[in-house]
Amino acid sequence: MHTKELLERLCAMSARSGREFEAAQEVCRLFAETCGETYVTPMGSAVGIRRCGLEQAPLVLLDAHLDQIGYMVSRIEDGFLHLVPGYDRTPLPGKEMLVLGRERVYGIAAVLPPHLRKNPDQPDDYEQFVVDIGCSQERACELAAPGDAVVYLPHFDELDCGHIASPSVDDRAAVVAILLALEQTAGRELCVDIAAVASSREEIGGPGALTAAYGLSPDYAVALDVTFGIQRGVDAPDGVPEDCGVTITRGPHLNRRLTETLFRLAEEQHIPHGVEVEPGNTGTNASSIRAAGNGVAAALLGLPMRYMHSPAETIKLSNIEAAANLLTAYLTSFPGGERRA
Amino acid sequence: MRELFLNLCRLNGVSGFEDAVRDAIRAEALPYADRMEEDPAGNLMVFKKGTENRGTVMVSAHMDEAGFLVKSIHADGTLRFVPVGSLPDRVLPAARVAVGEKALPGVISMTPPHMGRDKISKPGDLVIDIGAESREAAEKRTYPGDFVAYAGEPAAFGEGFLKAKALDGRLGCAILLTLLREEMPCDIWYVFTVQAVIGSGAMTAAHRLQPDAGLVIACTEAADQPFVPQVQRTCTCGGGAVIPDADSSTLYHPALVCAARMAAERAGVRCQEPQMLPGATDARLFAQSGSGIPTAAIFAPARYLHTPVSCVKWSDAEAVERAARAFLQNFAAENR
Repeated sequence: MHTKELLERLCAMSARSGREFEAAQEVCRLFAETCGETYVTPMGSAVGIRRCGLEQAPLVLLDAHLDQIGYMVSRIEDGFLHLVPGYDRTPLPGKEMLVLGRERVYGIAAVLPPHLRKNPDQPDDYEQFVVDIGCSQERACELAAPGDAVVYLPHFDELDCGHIASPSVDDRAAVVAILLALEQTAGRELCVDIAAVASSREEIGGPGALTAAYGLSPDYAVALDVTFGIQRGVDAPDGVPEDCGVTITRGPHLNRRLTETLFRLAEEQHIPHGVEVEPGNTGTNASSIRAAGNGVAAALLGLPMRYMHSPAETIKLSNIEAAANLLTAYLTSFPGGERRA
Repeated sequence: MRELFLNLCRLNGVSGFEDAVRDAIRAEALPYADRMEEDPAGNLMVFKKGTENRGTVMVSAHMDEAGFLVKSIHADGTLRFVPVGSLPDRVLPAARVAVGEKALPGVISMTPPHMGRDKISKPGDLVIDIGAESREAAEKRTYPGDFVAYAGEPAAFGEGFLKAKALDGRLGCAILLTLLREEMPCDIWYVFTVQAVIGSGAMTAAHRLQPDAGLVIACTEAADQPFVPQVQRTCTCGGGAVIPDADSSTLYHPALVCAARMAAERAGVRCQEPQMLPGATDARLFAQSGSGIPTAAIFAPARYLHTPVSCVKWSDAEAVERAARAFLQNFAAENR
């Protein structure tokens, strides 16, 4: 499988929530290799549809979100870009950034010189989270403006034992799993229509997946998102062991029959899998899609990842393949002639 | 000089592990040196005979960079680490690193913000993750005491800025190697020092050479961002070479400082003249060596020193090169 190459290609894109249109078009080109119909929704989600040819075949929506966390320029002072307060800034100082302004502009998230820090435990002041683009005020105002998106500069580090560290593994790794499942099932006689969705705006509440699902009215949906692997600062049961493979979540937001079907398929086909339990809102697109239109039977698959929402998001490639294999098992499990209930 | 500088920044040379940098500098210096020596500490000393009899100057730059040592290996294959040199701990969470001579890629951990404010990473809680899944797997890649450097390619950005890790020392090294190619009236020992970021390496070189004067070439933290109050700003990126009266560890020799400023002025080099810089340099070790070596220093204003994203404006780097050249061309031992 060319999992790594696909992930590298997807992680090279920059798509902060609300700024997915360019990346969505590129994902449509990838979907088009195995899907007859592709489009970008008004909210910026990429959709690829593959019909099986059977009349009244059920429609399965596979969702992974395309957007990534990021920041927003609030104002420009002495050539430095201030950021709108809000999201956690722990990993920012000293990172390479990309400003998605009139042009793509390289910047550095500033670091307070250590000799000026009075108290090492003192929390950082919002004023010192600025992005240094190495420009005068005049030039900076030509290149950037309040409202511009700021994301971590893409990079792709191959670590030991098949791990990748990159800023947008959440949730490009899951987009890769969907692309792999589309490839694995291409050319096979399925009895199900597939809608692949790389959805926008998951990190700000999931309206991208909600609206894409409304437009598609699927019978079933499987959402894939990263989940907390056991790591420094996250022990069981808050995190799942990375070697469990792909996780399947049980909980009230998730359709029980669909969820148990996925467990059964994983058991039968010896796909490494673990279980997660979510007693309420899953905090993922599964919870958005289930409420779309008249309602959708939704399930949630998880990819264990470390250092979520940092530029060092780290994932094991074989877990992406496990998720792809489970999606393929599910898509090929629809018996011939089955019709919508 | 720019390419030479960037190539030097690409090498890893955490204090005590300067070998790769020293090898590159030795090869670069060889065609132009009249003599080369290396002391047991690892300082590389390159002699260039002057065209006139004006005494001997020692010009130094440091080869090392701030980084980390592997302290121990956890059962889960992650690495406990300790910083080498003083570095701002805020840059650690989720930083990219290169472990050991093979520069194995790794990242520093960061507890996800979802886990709550009280669990957000403190430097002592962080580990280096090289992807190894067990202590045994990690032990095949590294060992306690191995060095770890920041990772990341140099980059040009903005209006003439360059970003690179390790540039605070390597800029001086590149300037020294450039000046070494030229004829100067005085005898010069170009000294490439070790362990400057932990404040100890240069003393043996100064003791051995006992020159008439010492000149340190390095970078200093400009602290010129909008979040720094005016009174705490040291100098300005883009403002030219910095020739101060003192750093936090030593007062420079007043006559030499004056000579450096006058030489720069006469050569038409843009200069900044702050009184005191934060932070210590090799100048203290020179000034206190033997019966004392008159020492001055010329700095490039820079930002984010000892982080993976140190940066300098190239026009300032060129100003430092020209100021150092002017100083050496005008140096005469009896004038001080």
